[in-house]
Amino acid sequence: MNNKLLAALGGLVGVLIVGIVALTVVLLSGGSSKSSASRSSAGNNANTATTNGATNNAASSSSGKGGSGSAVLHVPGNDPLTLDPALAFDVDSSTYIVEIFGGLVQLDKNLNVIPDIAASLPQISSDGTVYTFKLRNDVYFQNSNRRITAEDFKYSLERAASPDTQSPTADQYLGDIVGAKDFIRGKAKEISGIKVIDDQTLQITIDAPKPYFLKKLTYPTAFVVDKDQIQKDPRNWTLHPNGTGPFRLKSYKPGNSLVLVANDRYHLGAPKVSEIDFSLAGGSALTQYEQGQVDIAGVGVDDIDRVHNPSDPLSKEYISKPILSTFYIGFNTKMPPFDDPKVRQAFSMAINKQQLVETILKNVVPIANSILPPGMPGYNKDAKALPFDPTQAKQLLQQSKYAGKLPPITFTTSGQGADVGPVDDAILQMWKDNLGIDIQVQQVEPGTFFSDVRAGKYQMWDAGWEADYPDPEDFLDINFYSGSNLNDTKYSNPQVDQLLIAARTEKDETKRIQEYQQAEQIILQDAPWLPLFYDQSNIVVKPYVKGFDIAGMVIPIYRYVSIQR
Amino acid sequence: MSGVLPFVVRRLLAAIPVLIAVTAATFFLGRFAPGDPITIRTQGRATPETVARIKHELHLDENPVLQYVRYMGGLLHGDLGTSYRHPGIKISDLIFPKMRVSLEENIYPFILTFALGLPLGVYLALRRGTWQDPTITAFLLLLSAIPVVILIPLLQYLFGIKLNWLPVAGWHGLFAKTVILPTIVLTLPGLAGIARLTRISMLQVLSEDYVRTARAKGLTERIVIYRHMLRNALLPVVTAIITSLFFLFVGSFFVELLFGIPGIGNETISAIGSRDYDEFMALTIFGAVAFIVANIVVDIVYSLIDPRIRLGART
Amino acid sequence: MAVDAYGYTLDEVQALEGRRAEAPLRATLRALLRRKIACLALAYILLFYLCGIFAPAIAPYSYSKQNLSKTAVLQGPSLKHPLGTDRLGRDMLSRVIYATRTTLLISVATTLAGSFIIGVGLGLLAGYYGGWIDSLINRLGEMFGSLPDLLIIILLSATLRPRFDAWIRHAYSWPLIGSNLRTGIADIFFVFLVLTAIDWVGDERLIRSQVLAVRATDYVLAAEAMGASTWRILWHHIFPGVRHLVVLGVTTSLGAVALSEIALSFFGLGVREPTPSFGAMIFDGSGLRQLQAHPHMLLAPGIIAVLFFLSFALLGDALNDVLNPQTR
Repeated sequence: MNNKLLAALGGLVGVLIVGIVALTVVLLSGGSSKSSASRSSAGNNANTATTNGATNNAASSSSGKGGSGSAVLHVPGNDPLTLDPALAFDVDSSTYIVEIFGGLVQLDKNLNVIPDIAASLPQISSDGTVYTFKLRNDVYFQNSNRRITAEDFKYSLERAASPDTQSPTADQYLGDIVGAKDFIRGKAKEISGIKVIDDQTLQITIDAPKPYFLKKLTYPTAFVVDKDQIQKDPRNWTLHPNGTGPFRLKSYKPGNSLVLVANDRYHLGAPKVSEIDFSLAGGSALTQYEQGQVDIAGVGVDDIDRVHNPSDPLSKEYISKPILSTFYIGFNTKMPPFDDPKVRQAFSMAINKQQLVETILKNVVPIANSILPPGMPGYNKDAKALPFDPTQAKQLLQQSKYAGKLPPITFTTSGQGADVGPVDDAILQMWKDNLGIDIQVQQVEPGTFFSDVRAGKYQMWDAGWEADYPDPEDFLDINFYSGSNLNDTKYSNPQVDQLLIAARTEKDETKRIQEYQQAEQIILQDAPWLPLFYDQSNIVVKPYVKGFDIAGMVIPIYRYVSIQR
Repeated sequence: MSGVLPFVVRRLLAAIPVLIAVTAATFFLGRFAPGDPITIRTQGRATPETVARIKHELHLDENPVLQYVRYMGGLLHGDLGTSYRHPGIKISDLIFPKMRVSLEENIYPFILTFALGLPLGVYLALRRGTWQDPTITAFLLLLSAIPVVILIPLLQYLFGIKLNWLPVAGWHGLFAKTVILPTIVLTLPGLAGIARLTRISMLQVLSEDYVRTARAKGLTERIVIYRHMLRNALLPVVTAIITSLFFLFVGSFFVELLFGIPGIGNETISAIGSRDYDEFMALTIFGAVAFIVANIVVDIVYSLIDPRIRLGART
Repeated sequence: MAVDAYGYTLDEVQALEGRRAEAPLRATLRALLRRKIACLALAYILLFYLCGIFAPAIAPYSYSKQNLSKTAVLQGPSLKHPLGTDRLGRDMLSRVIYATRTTLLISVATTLAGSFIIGVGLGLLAGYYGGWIDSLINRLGEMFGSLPDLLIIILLSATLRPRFDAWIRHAYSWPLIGSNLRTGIADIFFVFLVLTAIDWVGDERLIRSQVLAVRATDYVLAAEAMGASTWRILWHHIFPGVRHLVVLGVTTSLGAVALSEIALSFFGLGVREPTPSFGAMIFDGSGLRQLQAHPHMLLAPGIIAVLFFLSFALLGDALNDVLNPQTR
């Protein structure tokens, strides 16, 4: 009896195992029938140009030193949403796009505009509206050897603005060009403001003398793309993009790895590192750093004490630099009770930012006392934000028109973690302790959050604002000009508006900065935003990696990096 | 087997309304959820006008019923749609590689669970009454009772950081060191379950009561009852095997998240979070089809094992 | 008196078959308590639930009182704070105690409604009546079952929860209930609704398949042939045949729902701050770097939770053995 049963069971297991193995073999071998680089099969890797077999080893071996080739950099990264420069809007996609593609100008490590495919900074007409670019004659597409001409730029910019492309950025970054807005809405056949004078000369005319326009051209929307490639393969060209940047895309396995390989013919100097392997898998970057699988890693709150401790070896590999981003609490100036500036001021003055940053965040980020973050032109370290003064705060509340009859107040935050985060928790407690008000908290999915903030549904929320280009217009105008449709606080102050309008076309750089700083000061007093802290990049870098510098924004940085063991 | 074919046909036909209901429910629930993929993709930085324009071009501002019809039409042509958050990439290109990864992630645990669990269960059944039985059972229970979200960080810490033997995250195929920890984590709960299931089933077969009954009823009955009991005993185990088989493609979300495995579980969550409608529709449909087919197969196997259980109808 | 084909009466058949031990409840409990492991498991579970019930009386501190100073935040276990403090200086022991209350409320409510009432009820109906009732219930089960759990939960939470929240906020001013709502009961209720919708399917299928098997046995056929009423058949013949599974199902469900609650919290869809829950605390403590730097954040709630789940597993196992003496 027992034996028969055992035999039956054993047979069943045997059949199962055979079946599974067969299934496995069939599935694993027949996986990549379609030829797209996004399929995760080793076969594709062998087809694209491989410079050294070290990449395969590095990608598939999981422990041990970073690759057998010494010129391979291993960095943790995130999946890009897209590799099409006209469609990119997020930091993750931009990180790769700025390395693969290029435009007329780019930003250097100090966030100054430098020429990229343009041979030099453009000639600007006396009325400030006509930009004439002379292009270099030694810039070639990476994979097709075709030289870049002004015609390529006209094509690329018009493609980005074309209604078919559905670019979310074209309006903002190309909309200043004469004729662009009509073209974007499908009312014109071309952008009249972009003229090809000859092969090497491009002329762009904008609608007003805006000094920040040149900086907008450093954004991916204005990058050059390969007309031939796109017309031949409109759906899938981003899987093997043909750009002009310092690196070429070698392989991309979603969720797994993305590999860039050096473009030795890069016109601004070939990169010193031959390959960059971005590990997209997630998991603790610092742990992988310590295990030797990546060469750079971010340091979070939990490890910040270690890198600040001089006796910990990690502290010698630690770099920290500000990022052009401000994290704030926004108040809806059209919704009670925050339509009364006294209430906004009271709430602002009830928060002890020092305690938040020191105790909870362990100083991983600096306290913000202004709207413009450090590193941004116009940053005013003497800007006077509302101080922490709970007594004054209570008084202000009493003086406001809602004294004694405050409506229920809800604080909304986005995110999908288990809780709103210790910072928000602490802030809510501070309002309770210092003002005696119980605030309801509401956590909303990021998907819903942005559109609802835009629609003015929340009384107050927290968010961050990152610079897209290094100009105060990006921070102050877009967020606080009464006519801006990205003005989420619905803030409207005629004095501020006047200053902002003047600054848009102010030719005198000093005067312009002054105008922005004045506007900023008024805004700080009126408190539609309560700036909490700026962003900071805290990373550790292996000692054999040289030249890795953090910039305050996403710019091409990897061509400066070299590995010296 | 004359009864099987009409049964299968009947069930498949019955499955169609279920699938329609499932797709409709998911579709409309998704559209009804606040937020949309374009606003999310642009992280709130695009002007409302731009968002509206893009939505119009993608037909997202149409009447949801129209959109549903359009989607189902595409589906019947084999078109799973294009991703909203990865503009231009087809859904099939997006999810098939991840399904492959989830399949890889599940294969070793599947084989190990049954290859180890079945014999273990038999062993425990044979050793009942001795000290090994409760001890091993308790140990298995302990291991499977630890929630994944606690077990994984602990294992990662022990083997990754402290001992530095194994990588903590990533996925590099079936033959790399990255399979080890996820396989352990995915095998344990199933192992305990199968072992116990097998043990109980075995014991039912071996118990003495039925022998007494059989004798009381006459020896010729014994064989019938024995076969009946054996089949019944095997039922749960077989159900488990078949159901697991169909869900090899579905990855466990937590395991994938904490180990950084680019599989279906991970993908489903980010698809929902980014409101990539077409993507999670495709994933739901796959899941639903797998579930329904698994149920049909299980019912067929049930009836094969015990002819007294007719297929669905009342005797 | 009616007899079956072999000349046995209904009661004699049952006695002879003896397959389903008709152990009265007292005998079951006695047998259960004789097993040491089961006792320990039961004791732990009861202790856990008691903590939940008497949380306000037991907890040494408030679960939401913050203490934002460098020396108070993220401290390991000490005399003053036996389980340490969290990022905001809140006492972990108090938070764990209150978390047991959250788990208690959610898992008991959900199991009662989902597993027991809906799951078992539908399973009995489906298995016994068969035909179109069976098909309908099966299709329903397939519908709910084929939608990936997580997907339903996230979608439901994304769509319904904001509206639910808004509605709840109107209710804050209601006389009796208002103050209770602020303590997070509303959250718990929502989670309960969502989990119940998912929970019933497993039990229903389990019960149904067993009912199918039991239905086909001689003595049930005999009972039907003898004209026993449906109710008598269900209660006296079928239910005892599935009772062990019901108990198993309920015990499993209590544990499984608690586990789901942890999963939900990982997505921010569970009970929210400041109401403590195991899910939230484990989520907080499970980051690898966090674990290395402050292990107590994970271990404190983790060990309590793991012992809880282990107890359920052991209890379920023991119950199984007791109700099926031939498998002991």
